[in-house]
Amino acid sequence: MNGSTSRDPGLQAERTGLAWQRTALSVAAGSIAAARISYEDVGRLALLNVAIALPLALWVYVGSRLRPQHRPTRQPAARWHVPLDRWRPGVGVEGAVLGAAVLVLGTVELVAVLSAGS
Amino acid sequence: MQRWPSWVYGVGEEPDYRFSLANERTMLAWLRTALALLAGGVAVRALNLGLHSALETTISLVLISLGMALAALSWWRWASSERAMRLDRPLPSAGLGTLTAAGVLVVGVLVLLAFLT
Repeated sequence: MNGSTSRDPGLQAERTGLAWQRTALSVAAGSIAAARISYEDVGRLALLNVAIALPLALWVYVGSRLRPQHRPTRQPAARWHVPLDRWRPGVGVEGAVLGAAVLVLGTVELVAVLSAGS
Repeated sequence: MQRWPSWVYGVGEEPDYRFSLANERTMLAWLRTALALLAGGVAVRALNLGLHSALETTISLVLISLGMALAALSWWRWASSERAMRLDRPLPSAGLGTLTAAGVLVVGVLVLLAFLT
């Protein structure tokens, strides 16, 4: 760890929260775009992206906006000020959820590639 | 209430939280990489590049499969690393990077072939 982050321990938690946000949003946006593109190939199967991957990604995004799970006591809570630590299932669960969302996307797209005539 | 999975959190002791946070960010970076590969696999076909269709399909399948493999492996690497940190053991090797590099290299060769034929 470089010197600047050791002077302000709150920065690490903030960086991590932002990383969660942008990853979850990327998966959400990707699921919509992929659904749109593969709709012509597989029709309603493409909606699985929106029905499964999108809500999962959005759930993780909303969770990441809330108070981070590890933080030194001096760091102030997120703006929403809701004591949500006990509602958040943890890094292991949320990471697996995002991974599962990507797997759902990949499965739908694989089917789209394999079933397209061209 | 213990965090999941228990084979990670049930052993050893809590590492410096900055290392846990760094481990999280690494997993998320790998997930974004997986998503980018997947998006590339979709884009190859969506952009109508006019390549030979069998080659295009192959490139697309390789990219999407690689993306899916990375998505699963990135979580696995996060879990093994977190467990290793808790037990004060060495971190897992850099296999993910090798796999990604090899996969992208294969796809690059395929794309080159597609343009040359």
